[in-house]
Amino acid sequence: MKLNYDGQEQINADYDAVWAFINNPEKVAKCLPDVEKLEITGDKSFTAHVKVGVGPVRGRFKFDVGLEPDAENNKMNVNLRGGGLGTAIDLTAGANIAQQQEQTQLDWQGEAVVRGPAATVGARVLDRKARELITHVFAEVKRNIDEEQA
Amino acid sequence: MSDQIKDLNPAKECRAMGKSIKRREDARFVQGRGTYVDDIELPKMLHMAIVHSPYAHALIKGIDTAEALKVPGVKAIITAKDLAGFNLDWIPTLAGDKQMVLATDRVMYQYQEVAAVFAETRAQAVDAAQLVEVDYEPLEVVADPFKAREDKVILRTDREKKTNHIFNWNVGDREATDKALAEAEVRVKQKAYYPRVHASPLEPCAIVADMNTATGRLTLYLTSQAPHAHRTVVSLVTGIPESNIRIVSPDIGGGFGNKVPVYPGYVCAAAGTIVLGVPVKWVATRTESMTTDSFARDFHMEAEIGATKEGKVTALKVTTVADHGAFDAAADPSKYPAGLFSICTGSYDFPTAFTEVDAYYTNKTPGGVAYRCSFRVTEASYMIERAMDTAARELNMDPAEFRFKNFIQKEQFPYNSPLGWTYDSGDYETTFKVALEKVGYEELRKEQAEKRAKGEIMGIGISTFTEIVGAGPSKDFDILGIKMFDGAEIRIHPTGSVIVRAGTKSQGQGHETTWAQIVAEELGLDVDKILVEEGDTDTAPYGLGTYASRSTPTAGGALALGARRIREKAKRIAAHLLEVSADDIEWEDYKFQIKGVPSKSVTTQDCAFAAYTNPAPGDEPGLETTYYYDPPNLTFPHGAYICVVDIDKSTGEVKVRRFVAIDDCGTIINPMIVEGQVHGGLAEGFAMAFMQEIVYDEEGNHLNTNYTDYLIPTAYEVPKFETGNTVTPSPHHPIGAKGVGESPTVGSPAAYVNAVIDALSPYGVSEIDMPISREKVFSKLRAAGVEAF
Amino acid sequence: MFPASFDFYRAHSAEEAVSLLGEHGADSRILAGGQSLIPAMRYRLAQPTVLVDINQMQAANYITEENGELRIGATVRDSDLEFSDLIRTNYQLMSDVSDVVADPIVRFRGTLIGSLCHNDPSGDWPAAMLAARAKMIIQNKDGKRVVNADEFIVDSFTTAVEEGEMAVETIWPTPSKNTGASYQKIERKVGDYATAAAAVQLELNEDGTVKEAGIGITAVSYVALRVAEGEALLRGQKVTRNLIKAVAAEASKMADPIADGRGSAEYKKEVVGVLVAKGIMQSLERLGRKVEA
Repeated sequence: MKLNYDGQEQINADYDAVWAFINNPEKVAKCLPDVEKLEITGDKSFTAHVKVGVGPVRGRFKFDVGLEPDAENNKMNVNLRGGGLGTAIDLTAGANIAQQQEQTQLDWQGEAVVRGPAATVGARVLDRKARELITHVFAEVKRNIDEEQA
Repeated sequence: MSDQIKDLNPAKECRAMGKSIKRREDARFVQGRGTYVDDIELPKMLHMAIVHSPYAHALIKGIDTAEALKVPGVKAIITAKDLAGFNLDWIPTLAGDKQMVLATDRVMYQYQEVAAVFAETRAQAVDAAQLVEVDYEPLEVVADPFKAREDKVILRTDREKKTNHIFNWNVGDREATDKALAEAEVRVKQKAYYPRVHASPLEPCAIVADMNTATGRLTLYLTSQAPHAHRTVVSLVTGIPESNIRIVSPDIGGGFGNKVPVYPGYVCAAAGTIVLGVPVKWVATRTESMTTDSFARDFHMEAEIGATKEGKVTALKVTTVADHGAFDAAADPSKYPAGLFSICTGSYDFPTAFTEVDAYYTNKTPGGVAYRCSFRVTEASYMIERAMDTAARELNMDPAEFRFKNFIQKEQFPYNSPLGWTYDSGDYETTFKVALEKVGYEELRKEQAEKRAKGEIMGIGISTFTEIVGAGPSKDFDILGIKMFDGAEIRIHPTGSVIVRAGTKSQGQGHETTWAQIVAEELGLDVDKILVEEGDTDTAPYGLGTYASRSTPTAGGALALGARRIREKAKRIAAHLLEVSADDIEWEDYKFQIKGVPSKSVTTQDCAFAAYTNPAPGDEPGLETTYYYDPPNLTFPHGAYICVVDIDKSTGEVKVRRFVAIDDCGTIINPMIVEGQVHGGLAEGFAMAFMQEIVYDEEGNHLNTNYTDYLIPTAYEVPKFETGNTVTPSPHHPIGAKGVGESPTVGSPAAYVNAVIDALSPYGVSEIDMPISREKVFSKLRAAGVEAF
Repeated sequence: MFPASFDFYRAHSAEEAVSLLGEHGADSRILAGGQSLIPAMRYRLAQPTVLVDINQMQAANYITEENGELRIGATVRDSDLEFSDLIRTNYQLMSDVSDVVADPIVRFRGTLIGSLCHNDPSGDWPAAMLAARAKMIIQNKDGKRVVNADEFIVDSFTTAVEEGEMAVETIWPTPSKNTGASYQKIERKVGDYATAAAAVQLELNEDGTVKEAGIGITAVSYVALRVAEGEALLRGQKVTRNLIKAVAAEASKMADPIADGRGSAEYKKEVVGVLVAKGIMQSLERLGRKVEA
């Protein structure tokens, strides 16, 4: 099951501040919701144990996240692989970062592939929840950078 | 009645044959007192759970069992590395390929088995399995055979030839057929996809593997349709002598071909018991059953028919692309990698024909031969019946008339088909006439014309199929080298009751009743005093098991001929008792009598008693035999099915108004059992025609892992069936019987589909693939400009 | 698979249930029929640590018609409605739904309120609740409040019932004698989720124009939806074929289905409109009225 999402955040900070934030695994990890346990595994990677719920469907997932900065193209690529409940999730996301006057715009898009029982049994529900979660993550990125700047 | 039966009992009605005797096995099933593998509990037994891959194609970078091993009650966790130590990491398949037991360096299909956990309770095993961490590196997925054909991503790196092409198998005269097609006045093409489906037996696969380290004997309680063949394979694969292996197939809750293969779960359980020295039980979950059992079908076919403009067929060509999944585990006889697909000329007299099957590996579950397919006969029959309807439409002929014009005539039997089969007997015209009469064909066509004038949608579909069962004669048939005869042992006790053991294994076919009926008839004994046992390899004579409707043609023959051999000896005992020579004894009205003197007679019971108390001089005491029957040919049941549908144009819903099924399986042992088989197969045909498909997406994700997503019809959906029989006995079979279990599943899908196409043909529709969903019909109607409301 | 382990409590009153839910927080769930919850638990897609069973709450087992309303308690089963003469004669929409919700066996256990609280995007009862303008009474430790259908349905599997709360009664207005209704559902087999479904309830004026219309559609979006635009088109009008087409088009426009084994998004979108049309036509037929050309 393939899920596609995209969105945009306007951040009240300049390009460098945004770039520094999203290259920092510890800071990015804090933007995930319901993190129960966090391990920073490298200067561009972390493992997060996350609790996810949709109505009665609740479970624990473990995600390995890798950040791949592409400074030349003003882009940050993110790879997420994880699973839980017998399900495997692969997410590739990218964010284009562009400074516009005093603000920096983050254009993000992601594609998630879900495999396993959750993909079929939970399909009708996953799409909406996943969109919610991903949107939440990028909103948190914005909120955190905005706060840092304030 | 067949000639053979008449010999038994010229003047009188049969006592046991042809009677709807209640099934002996049903009492315990209905009372919940059967013994299934999961009922077996042994002391110190451990439970096994399997870790499955969520990826369809990926390298395995590492397997971490540390967390899982901490779960209380867990005794061991094995992976392919552990099995390699026993040479059990790969096993041969019944098709002559090999398959991984647990994924070695990579996984080849979603849900493939990766590790096995052994724990004290099932709950502990399941909990631990969830904690096993596997590090996967995904590889490109090849999820359809056409992509596999391109050979851009080679799946089986273990094979010498680096290609996804498994085999090409062909038979017939390619040149003559191509020529005839090119020259045909009318030439018709028809594509047909037979979707991948799953037989869904009620009981999933299960095993209790018990290695007794004190005796050195390995006992496997196993859901096996072919226990002896499995025993031989286990011996070859483990090195344990067959005398030290016992396979017991107890009651089995449905097989349908799903319980023919040797599954990784079985091997892991066996390895577990051998290493740990205690019994190990594994029962597949429903998800495991849906995703790792042998699938069925997945044939992409195309047929071409050549005909004269008067409607006489001149040539048939059928080409197929077969999707076999990651390993070739299609349990076909070794000379027939595409099974008996070459029956695709069906009931029709084609002067020339050619067929070709190309098989490919894909990242899907292995299998192929299951769900009552008679070794790919379902695919062949579906193709020809669909193509014949298309040809009739092209020729502007009524499809019934077209079939009559092309049937193999009764006088032509035994008939040599252009693809190499010798059909034993058939009477297609008679059977078809009975069906047409019963359904009221003429009136239905009139009704259809009237409805069409009003814009109402109604269709009539026909399938007049011939199928091929009873594998098979030793000159052509073997599985992994073992010839496909079957065996029956008949032993009569002093007081006249009998124990019968056969090499077949019923999973619901009713052998405990029908085998008793055969022996009762041959020997004039009481059916209720004949005990039938199957499934214990320590006691049953060797046989190739039950699938593809082979049991009655093979074991049924062994039973009849074995009983006759006993009758020969009993004749000598009778002569001894009646103080005459054996030549003066005749078998008349279920008795041995002095020729022409009915008052001087003895029964088989009398002879049995004498065999132990007063044996004939020069003869061994006792009264028993073991008979191995090598059939001289296959048998060819046939049938005529007619389906009537009404279609709701607002939603695309298809309602089956009527389904008439007239079957001809030769001599009928038990009419009630035959009727039950037919109802079951027609329901399965309905399911495949309208509801069932195993779908893999491009990433190799299996989308039908449970019964919400894979549909089994209920009593609410299944139409009412009207069944009947004609009897055209098999001339070569000892009791003239042909077998019937698979016929309805073979013949019915085309009837359902042809009915829908017939209904939609005024709107220019000539194509529709199974399963026929509302949406498929809805789209065609909207596209043709028919308003929904 | 079988569920992860959980604790089990039996509540004998709504107060007790609410208290237990409050005590154990978000991981506690009410167990009524269990026909949606238990399958999710068996797949371990739901892992509640506490189940509060209300099946012994005798006081919750009532169907009472009074003051122009039907009041139904928390343990009333779908089959109670299916076999009720009162429902069949006076509550046509409910009667239609209770004939086709889930399957005949599940209906003996599944509850109406349980279905509404579960709020499955393909559920039948939520669509009917919207069309019938029904309400829910929610209780917590501080008391009760009434929520109407539009506010009750919040999101997939999410209703206005919050943590520590329980839905205790649902209220369905008694339709007038000039009201016709119909539930149109297509499903691949009995017991499957709807491929698409439409709940229609029409109250007519004496002259045959529409006094009030309720249209709910389900299985075509993240929740059941009320086709408000379609209802507005009908109000005050005589029902003609063209009007029905326009209303159906509104339903199709609102629908945002996902493709799955039941059908493509395009098919579901189109067919839900057809079902709304059929619902309108059957509602009128049941009132002995004809659709104008």
